Amino acid sequence: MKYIKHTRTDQVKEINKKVNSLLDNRQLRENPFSVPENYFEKLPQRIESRLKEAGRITTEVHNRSHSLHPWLYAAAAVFAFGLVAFFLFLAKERSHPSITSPALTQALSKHPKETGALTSQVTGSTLNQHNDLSDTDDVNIGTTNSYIENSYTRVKPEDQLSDDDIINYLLEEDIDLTDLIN
Amino acid sequence: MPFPTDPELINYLRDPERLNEGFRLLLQKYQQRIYWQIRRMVLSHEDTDDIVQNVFLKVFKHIHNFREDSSLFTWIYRITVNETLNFLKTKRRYTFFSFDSMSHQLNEQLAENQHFTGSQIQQKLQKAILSLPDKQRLVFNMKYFDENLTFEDLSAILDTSVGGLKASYHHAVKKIEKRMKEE
Repeated sequence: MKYIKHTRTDQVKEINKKVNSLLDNRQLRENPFSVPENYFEKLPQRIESRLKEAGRITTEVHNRSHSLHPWLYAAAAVFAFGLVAFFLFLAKERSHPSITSPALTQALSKHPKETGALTSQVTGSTLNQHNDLSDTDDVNIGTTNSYIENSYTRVKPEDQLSDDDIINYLLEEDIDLTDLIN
Repeated sequence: MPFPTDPELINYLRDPERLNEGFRLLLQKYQQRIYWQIRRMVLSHEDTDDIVQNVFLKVFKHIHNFREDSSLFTWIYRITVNETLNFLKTKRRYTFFSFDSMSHQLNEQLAENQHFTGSQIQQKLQKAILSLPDKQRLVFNMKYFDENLTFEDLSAILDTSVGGLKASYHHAVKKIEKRMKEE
C-alpha cells in the first residue's frame, strides 16, 4: 500500500516536472494583452465621474419620490372619500328597503288613498326594527324618523278612511266579513 | 512615492474628510492588478473596463461595511472574483441559445482581439486556458500570472481550502499541457 502511494507521488512529481518545464517558460507568464493608450491614467477620473453620476441619480430618484407624495396623498384621499360615500349610500338604501321595493311601490300606486296609512304602518315597523338595533345605528334611525315625519305630512286628515267608509267599501264589493276575521 | 499600506488606506476611507483622497490612492494601488485579473478571464478590454468600474464603485459604496475580518486586498479581490464570475454567468445565459458555445466565442474574441499582442505560443496557452471550466480557469490565472499571490491568499479570496486549490491548480496544469501538446 505504501509502495503504491509512493509510486503515485512520484508520478505526480514527474508530471509536474514535465508541465513545469513547459509552463516555466518565462515568456508564457508575460502579459500578452495591451490596453488603449493612457487607459490607466484616465481610469480613476472615469470611475470618480461615475461615482458623482451615481450620486446625482440617487438624488434625482429621491427628489422624484418626494414629488410623487402629494399625488399619492390626493389619490388616497379621493379613494377614501369615494369609499365613505359608497358605504353611506348603501346604509341609506338599507335603512328603508320596503319603500324602495318596486313591487310595493306598484301596489301602493293602485290605492293612492290608502297609501298614507299603509306607508305609516310600514315605516313604523321599520322604526321598530331599528329600535331593536344597537346605538350605533343612530344615523339610520334619524333618517327613518325624518322619513316617517315626511310620510305623515303626505297623509291629509280628510283623505283618511273612516270605519264607515271601510264597511261601505266591503259591502259594495260583497266581501264577507267573517272571511276577513278568520 | 510608495503606495500607502492597506491599514493606512482604511484609515483614509473611514475619515469623511480624507475619503476622496483615500479612494484615489486605493485606485492607484489596485487598478492594474484588478484590471488584469478580470481581463484574463473575460479577454475583451471593453467588458473588462465595465467590470473594473463596477468593482471600484462597489468598493466605494460598501467600504463602510468592511469589517476587517479579512485584509482590504482580499476583500477587493473577492468583489472582483464575484463580479467576473457573475458577468461570465450572465454572458453564458445569453449564449445558451446561440449556435456558438461560450468558449468558442471567447476563442474568436481572442483571435480578433486588437489588444492581444502576444506571441503564437502565448496564444496557444490562452486557447488551452479557455478549455477549462470558469472556476478552474480563475484559479490557474490567478496563480500562474500573478506570482505574488500565494495559495493561502487564494484560499482567503475564494473561501476554499489550500489543498483543494492546489489540486485544482495541478489538474488545470495537466489539462493545459495536454491541450498544448495536441495542437
